[in-house]
Amino acid sequence: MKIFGLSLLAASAILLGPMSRPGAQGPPARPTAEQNFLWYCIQCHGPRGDGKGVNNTAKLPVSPRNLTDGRDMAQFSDEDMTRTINRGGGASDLSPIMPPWGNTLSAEDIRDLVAHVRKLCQCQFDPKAKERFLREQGKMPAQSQALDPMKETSR
Amino acid sequence: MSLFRLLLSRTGAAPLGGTALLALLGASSPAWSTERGRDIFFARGCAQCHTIQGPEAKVPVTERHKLKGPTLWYAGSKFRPGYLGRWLAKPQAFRGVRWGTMDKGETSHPALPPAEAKEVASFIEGLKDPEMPTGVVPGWGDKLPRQVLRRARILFQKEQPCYACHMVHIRKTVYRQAVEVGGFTGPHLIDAGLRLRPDFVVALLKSPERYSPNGRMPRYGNQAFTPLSEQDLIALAAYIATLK
Ligand code: HEC
Ligand code: HEC
Ligand code: HEC
Repeated sequence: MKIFGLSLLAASAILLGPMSRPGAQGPPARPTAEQNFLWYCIQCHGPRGDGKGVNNTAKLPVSPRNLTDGRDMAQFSDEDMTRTINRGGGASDLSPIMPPWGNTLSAEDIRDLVAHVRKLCQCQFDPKAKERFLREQGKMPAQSQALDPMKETSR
Repeated sequence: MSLFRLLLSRTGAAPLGGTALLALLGASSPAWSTERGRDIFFARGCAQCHTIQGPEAKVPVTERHKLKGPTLWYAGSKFRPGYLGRWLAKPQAFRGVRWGTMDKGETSHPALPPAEAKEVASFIEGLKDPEMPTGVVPGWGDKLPRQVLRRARILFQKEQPCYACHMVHIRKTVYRQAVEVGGFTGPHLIDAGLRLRPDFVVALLKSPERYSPNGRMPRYGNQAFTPLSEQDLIALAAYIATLK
């Protein structure tokens, strides 16, 4: 009986694959950044991240960003991207059409997504690019040259 | 068979009279209709694509393409009475992308003859989530208090642009004519007022892990990254209920 039950279990495990094991031990493997991207972000940024997702319609006031444009994306530090993905565009002085994903994805998932976006844009953060874009928008970065007094106290 | 027992226990009729009684009550009794609806649901293969037991288990993103249709385990708490009967007789796509894909297009859905649609609807409307709070959204109907409407519009259009993924019909716009605006990946909300119960919209926004663990919609609610208050959620739900 026991043997029969066990072999049945094993057979069903083989047939159904790892996902549908009823009492599977341990947490399932975390999806990769690409898998998360292709489920969630694809809706607006498109499968390649070029901003041509199905939700990119003409009437949207701000189009989903082309994440493969290295020159444009260089203006965002990892910190900027993490904030935007967690809290939405509104938190980074961008359009809130970019939704907040912090409740949906874990901190690790979002860290991996930032690395994934870096791969898509094949770019590194360039403080000069940030300054240039902020100047174009009529906004200067917050006293980037001066020492930040808060930094001292928080240490 | 279970219906037989049900009727017997309700009426206390003798077993022999049971069949006659069934025929007599057949057309009029809602319980009978619900039971027939259940039989049709399984006979027509609806269960191949829809689960009717919940809560739905969370599936990893890599496996979600295997889901064949939305769960119906809380359909009675979700849909307005009457909607399902109409929809099942004449299903119309309510999403701008084909199910499970990001391809623009419509998912075609099997239709039921009107009589069967009514019975199946009566069965599905009985599938409720007893834990879902009701009476949350006041019965404002189409006349929302100004402040509520204002807050809802700001949320829906500016702060958390829901229309980025949900198509809506806006009457007064900068285009000076009514337009349909919005994305394709979420169900359109053009006639959501005829379709969804406002209490469900609040419940969905508050507990997405219960009502849509396998969806693509970002999780909102009063959580770390989206501190939407109860009032905000009620305003959104009441606003969506006016769309028709
Ligand atoms: C509803 C559509 C939508 C979805 C879904 C979406 N985005 Fe965006 N995203 C946008 C828009 C619009 C912008 C541009 C905002 C702007 O430039 O003002 C943007 C900008 C960005 C940027 C550049 C801004 C910055 O600060 O770095 C990144 C990175 C980004 N999105 C990542 C993601 C990731 C990762 C996901 C999936 C978890 C995602 N997006 C899902 C619409 C969307
Ligand atoms: C081949 C799979 C399949 C079968 C069989 C099927 N459905 Fe569906 N059903 C779907 C999909 C997919 C959707 C979602 C459509 C969309 O997103 O546009 C859906 C949607 C629905 C909805 C939701 C409607 C709404 O407005 O949200 C109901 C109710 C429903 N089906 C009932 C039924 C019933 C009753 C039957 C049996 C007669 C049935 N389905 C058979 C796949 C199926
Ligand atoms: C990134 C795209 C996206 C955004 C932004 C979004 N949704 Fe959704 N929404 C979806 C999708 C996709 C579904 C279908 C269920 C799922 O996948 O979770 C959905 C489902 C729903 C439903 C249930 C509709 C039904 O018929 O089942 C409601 C109500 C809803 N969303 C309201 C909202 C509100 C309110 C907002 C803004 C606070 C919003 N959505 C923002 C994508 C989105």
